[in-house]
Amino acid sequence: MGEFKVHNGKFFEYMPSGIQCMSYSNHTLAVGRTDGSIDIWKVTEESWYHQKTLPGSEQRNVQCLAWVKGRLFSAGLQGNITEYDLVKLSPKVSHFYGHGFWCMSASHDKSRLAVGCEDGCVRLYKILEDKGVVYERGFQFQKEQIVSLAWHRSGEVIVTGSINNIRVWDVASGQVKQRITTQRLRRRQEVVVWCLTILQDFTIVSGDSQGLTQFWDARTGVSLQSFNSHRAGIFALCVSPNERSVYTAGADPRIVTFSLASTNDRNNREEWTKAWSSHHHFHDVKALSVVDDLLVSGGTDTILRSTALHRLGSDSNSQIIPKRRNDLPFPMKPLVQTAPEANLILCQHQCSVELWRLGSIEKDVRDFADGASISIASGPSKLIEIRSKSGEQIICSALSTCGSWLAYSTVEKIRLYKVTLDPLVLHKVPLIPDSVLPSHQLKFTPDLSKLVSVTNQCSIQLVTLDDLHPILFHTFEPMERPISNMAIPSKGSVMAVTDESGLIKLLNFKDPSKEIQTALPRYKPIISMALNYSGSLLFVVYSDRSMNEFSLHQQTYSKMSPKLAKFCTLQWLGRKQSIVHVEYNQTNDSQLILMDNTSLVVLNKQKRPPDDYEPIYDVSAGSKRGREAPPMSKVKRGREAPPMSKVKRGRQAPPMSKVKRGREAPPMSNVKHGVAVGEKNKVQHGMAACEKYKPLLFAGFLSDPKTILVIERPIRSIYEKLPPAFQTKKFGT
Amino acid sequence: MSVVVVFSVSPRICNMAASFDSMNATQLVTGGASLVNKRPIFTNDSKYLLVCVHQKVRIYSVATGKCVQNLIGHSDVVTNVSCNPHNKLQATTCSLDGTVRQWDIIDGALLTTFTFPWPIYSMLVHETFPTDQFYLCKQGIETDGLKTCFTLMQTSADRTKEDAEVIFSQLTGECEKLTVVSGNGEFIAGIDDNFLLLHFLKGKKRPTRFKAGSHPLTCLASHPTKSTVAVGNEAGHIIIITNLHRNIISNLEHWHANRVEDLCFSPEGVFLYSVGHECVLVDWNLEKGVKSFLPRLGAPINHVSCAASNALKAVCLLDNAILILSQNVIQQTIQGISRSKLYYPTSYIPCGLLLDPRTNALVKNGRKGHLHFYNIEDDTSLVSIDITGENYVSGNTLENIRMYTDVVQAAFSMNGDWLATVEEQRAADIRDVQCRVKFWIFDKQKQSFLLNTTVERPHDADVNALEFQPWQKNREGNNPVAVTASLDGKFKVWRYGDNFNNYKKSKCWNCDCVGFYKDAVPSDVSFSSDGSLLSVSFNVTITLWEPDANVLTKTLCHTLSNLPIRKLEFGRGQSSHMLICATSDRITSWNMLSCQVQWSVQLACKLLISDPYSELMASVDSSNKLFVFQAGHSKPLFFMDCRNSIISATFVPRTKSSLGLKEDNLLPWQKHSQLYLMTEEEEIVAIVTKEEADLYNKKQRFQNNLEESLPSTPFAEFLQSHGNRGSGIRKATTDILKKYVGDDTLVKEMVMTPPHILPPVRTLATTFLHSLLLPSDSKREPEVDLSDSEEEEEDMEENSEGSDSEMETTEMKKKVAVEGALVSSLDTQREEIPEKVLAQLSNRSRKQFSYLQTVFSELSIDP
Repeated sequence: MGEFKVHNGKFFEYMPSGIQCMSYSNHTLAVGRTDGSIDIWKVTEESWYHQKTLPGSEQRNVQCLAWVKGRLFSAGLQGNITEYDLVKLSPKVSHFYGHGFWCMSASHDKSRLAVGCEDGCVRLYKILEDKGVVYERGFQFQKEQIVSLAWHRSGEVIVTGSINNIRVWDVASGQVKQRITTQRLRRRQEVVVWCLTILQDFTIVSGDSQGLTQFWDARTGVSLQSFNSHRAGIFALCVSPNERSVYTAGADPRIVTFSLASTNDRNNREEWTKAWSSHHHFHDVKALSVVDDLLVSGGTDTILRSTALHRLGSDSNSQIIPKRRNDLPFPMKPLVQTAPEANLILCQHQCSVELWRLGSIEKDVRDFADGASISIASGPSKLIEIRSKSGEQIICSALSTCGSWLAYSTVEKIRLYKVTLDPLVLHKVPLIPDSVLPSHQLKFTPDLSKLVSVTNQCSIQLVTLDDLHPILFHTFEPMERPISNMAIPSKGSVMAVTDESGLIKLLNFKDPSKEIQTALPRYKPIISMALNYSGSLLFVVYSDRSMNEFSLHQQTYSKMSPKLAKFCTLQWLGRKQSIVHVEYNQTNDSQLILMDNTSLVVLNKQKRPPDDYEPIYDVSAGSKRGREAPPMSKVKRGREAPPMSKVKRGRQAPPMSKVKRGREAPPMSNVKHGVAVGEKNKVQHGMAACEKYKPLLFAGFLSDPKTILVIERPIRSIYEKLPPAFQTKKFGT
Repeated sequence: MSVVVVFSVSPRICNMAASFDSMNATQLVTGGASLVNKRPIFTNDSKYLLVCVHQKVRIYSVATGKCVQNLIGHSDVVTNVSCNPHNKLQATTCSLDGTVRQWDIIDGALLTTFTFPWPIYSMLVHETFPTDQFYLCKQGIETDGLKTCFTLMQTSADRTKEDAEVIFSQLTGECEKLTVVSGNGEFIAGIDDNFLLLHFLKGKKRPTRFKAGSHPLTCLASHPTKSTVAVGNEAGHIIIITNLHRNIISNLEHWHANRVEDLCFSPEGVFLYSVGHECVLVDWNLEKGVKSFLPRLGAPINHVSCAASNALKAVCLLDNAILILSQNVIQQTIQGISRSKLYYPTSYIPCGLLLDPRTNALVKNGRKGHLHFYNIEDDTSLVSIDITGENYVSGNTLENIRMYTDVVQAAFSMNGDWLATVEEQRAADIRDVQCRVKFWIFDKQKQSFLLNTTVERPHDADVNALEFQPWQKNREGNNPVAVTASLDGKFKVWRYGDNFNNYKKSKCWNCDCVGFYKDAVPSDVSFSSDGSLLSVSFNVTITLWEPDANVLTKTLCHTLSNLPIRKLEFGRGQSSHMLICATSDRITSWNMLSCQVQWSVQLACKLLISDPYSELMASVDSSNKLFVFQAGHSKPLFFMDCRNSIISATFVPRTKSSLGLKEDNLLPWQKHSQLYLMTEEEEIVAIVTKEEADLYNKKQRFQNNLEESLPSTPFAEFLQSHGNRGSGIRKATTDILKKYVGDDTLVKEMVMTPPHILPPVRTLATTFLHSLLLPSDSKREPEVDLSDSEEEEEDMEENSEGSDSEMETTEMKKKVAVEGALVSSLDTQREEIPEKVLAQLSNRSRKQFSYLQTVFSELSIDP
């Protein structure tokens, strides 16, 4: 009999939106999506993680992005250049112009932005010191719209790509210096130069709608080389920092690399050679970017993928197929809030929230084998769907543990609802005072007295809950940096917040006047954290997946903290997915559940940490698949897979004293013990991972501490909703 | 109907120690050698193709596809041939006998021999290598028993064994595709499993290993100018690795489904050709990233090579053919005896060796579903007839053979007018066999067999025998008859006759009658030589039938052996009353006149064949001993222990053209026909005397120059034909010339001056042509008609006594025309002009052509 029952739900039809553009600068990657939202990823040496999301709106299309000295600008087809406030997560200032902007690029001295317009004009904007831009001048008009644009490093030359031609412009005069007509493979078919760039040696690289990657000399307008590299249009192109490699991708989602190779002739000329190609995407690739030693790609299939470049071509033993990492298109904050007492969950969509009641099983089911499915008595049902006003995107949402309060926040304001379950009545609390600011994170206190809100001003506000007149109870002093995470215990009065730099602050939410002095050590940005039931222990997971535990009473590391460090094996740290959600078992402080987008880990601090060579993740997928198949088929019919019982590897075995000393070889007594109990094959360390459910949207305990709720979103059902992709013939199909 | 069971046997078991003249006989491999074991190489002028064939190198002419020279001298298998980069007219070969030899391509003469202490499996040549330095592959020390590995050594001609420098120690794969020199001689590349090894010859860069994918590599090719190497692997990937001396850039291309068999760069390096089991030549344009295909080449391809001029490519098909392609059009096919091992694990020739009575060509199973006609005397392929009409499609893995149809039985009628075939569709996992009998008629106009009748499902089970009735014209009915026997227990007689279709009057084959005997299964059928008697063997019983009436006349059975009869054969000629039947333990001869067993011999017979034109029969037993005997006598005429396993044999009638040997040098029983055997390796072996073998080997060495065996150009042929016609005239012309050269310097000047000193042809020709035109004012005689011109000429010749001289002058003028490089059609046009007019013309043109004056005046002189 397994340790946990797993309640597996697949009814949350979350739909991420496709990637439109990317911009990377100064360890920060901005990813613009088709719904206008922008994801900000923080890139550090050992890991990179999703920091925050700038919500979009229907009025603002993000066609292209540009970083200028840490300021983020976007331009779109509605004809606006927008600068964003990265703290408030909202647009700072927008400049509108009559025509849509196809492309935008900042000059290398970061003083100007050049945009290519629908009306065929290149316009220059001067970047102001404090905020926004001001229109400087426009270049000579041309007939066709300007689709792509690039600055030369010197700042004197701009190249633009449009329909059937490429133009080289003199920035000083605004006149065309060179006009290049593109090669047509088929007569009477227009060639759109979707992307181009100019290298320092005045080589123009262009990718067009015919799938041709072409190299031109900008000074003479002569085609240097032409590669029929793709079978459909090329949408994205990027150059490595040393300008020796060019990467292209598009509707044919292969990413093709071109590298400079020396020809063995007398003047030691170098020419571009087609190098490896990778086929990791299966829909249009819209954006490519070189991020340090990684090539990051994204497109309509909503997944951000990265490919390591340093393995290629560096030495003679390099591999041909590079390693890659996938980032599933789910945000780093849980989109699901649970109300375990009422068996309700709240699912947050782009512009709406849904309240679902979970299915239930028959009561008398007691004994069942490991991995067996339990039939459900009643399926899940959707109770309420609330759409935000005029399609505003929802930043965060909250549901109280008993399910009686519901709140969400958009960029504009917080909305609060009182939910009565029997009969189902949704009552909107009308009069939220104006002093309550829009929120980035919301939570209800367990005693249902207050709503805790992380405001867009980096402060925390407490709002007393009332059916009619909620009032702003207290506003804590704003922190210096944006608050990234918040944890509230079930009991107790101290909550913890952390900012983007990893500073942990403790606040008394019951009596805000009591100051709490904190001196918790800082390490790295904290991705997720949790407080235990009594509020005495704080568990944090850093951006590099290392874990730590603090004792709030002693204001320092807890007793378990040194042992936790041993849990962070290379195998654990080597995985790239960030931990999205952490939760203590309410009845057992030594047991935690950790979740990233692909796996669910049950951590038992009491047991011995895994050895370096011991597998944490189940490699043998054979049995896994066999089990997975039946619930998959059931989902289509019943929309919810039956709850599963699952053995978590490792039963309550007393921790071995030997384990602590020698991690290299498992002690003999351990094996004997295992044989005696009849668990020869079971792993006995305290970290049990389950990759059966993926991609994961949520994993957490329900009210019964033996039941885990798992919300899955099969990636295939996301793809089914995408527009048809460019079909490529695969051999043998 | 009486069953005669005979016990009176004369069991004279032949004594094998009999004193035959078999001591004098040897086995001579006359054909069937594999042409495609090694990669063929074009000579530098792209006119010839060098092909390694067993112990010799054959030189084929690209223009004709004929073998024009043999390089003979190696005593073991030749493993590699290449043009000597230091002398373009020489070829270098290496062989398992441990020698590297240099040859003169034109004469086929051996120039130099370098001897090394180990067998040489492969060799590298490049123009930058010194002439006394060699890069040779020998067999390496085996690490595990599964793979043979090779070692590349650098050695020189005068050094001893210890001085040899090892460059690559372990290369695994097909030895000739393991190593390559870069186009500029910068490095040597080799492959070891999935690693590419590089050894730099220039500079001090250390040898490197580069992991190219995760599949074992199979072949590699180097770019002619750049430091680029392309490798192919087992998974069908082609990896192009550039920039080898700096940061390596690699590019993976994938089209082939099975392993890449060979790669070759075009001489400029723009294209890369790759081949494999898909029967497709893939043409990669690496710069543009586009590829083009030449599909349906018929059989899996294992080698490709490109001529230096880039106009020609040679592609080796695994069924023993070399295609020479010019601009993706098949220009020549050099076809050896096609092999069945491509499609089957062991050699399998269900039809056996047959003889086409019309051309005396050997016929056997060729390409899948084809019958291959082969001229054994000059070892050339004649024609391949597509019987089943199916395209060969390779499986998605090399082991997975697809369902296909193959010809399992074939027979020719007595005079070769008819060909009957049985084809069966087989698959490894399908039990239901689809069977089809086809009758083909020889069309004299098209000179090929045309399909006459197709019989779907002629029997309920496999057809195991097919025979034509020896058809004689004076016999009644006059319609050819064929018999098939099947495992379903029936034999069917097929007769050529009227089609029963009402709409179309034609003749086709119809089933005449069906015969069976008890529940037994027929195993073989045989017609007597006059066609009056049909014998069908059922298990242990021989039944005799009257084929026209389909009446069982007799059954024969003896108790010497209880084993079922496997082969049945009537004697021919003087012993046509004899019927030989073979079981798996003995051969028994029945006398049809007495219906008694004449003799019986204990012999585990595997093959039994008869010569259709003599009373000779040959049998091969299970231990590959060959016996030649006459049906009437149990004592064999000839006995020989064959070294190789024999799978088929046939008698081929001797023609006068073969070798021109005296009868004394032939084996006495082979005076009328030659016996050919086919071994398990699908080589054709002839049984000859030692003198004959010597003569054959001598003939292999072509005495003439290579250039002489090339075909002449059309212009040369034209000249030759004219020259033949007027050889006598030419002599007369020279006489005239002599006559005038003596006294007239003008003619001498015109005829003897080199053409480049003469005035421009343009000016000469126009005035000359003008002079030949009919003047507008001159009255044309009505009888001067072009259609009657020949008669006219004849009349003229009769009238004029000096016809000889006229002909001379005609020829003379022709000579003039040729000297002036006039088009040859002018001659024919001019010949139609009556001589009288010509005479007039010549008078008129006297003024312009003073030096022609004398010639034409000679013409107009009336003697």
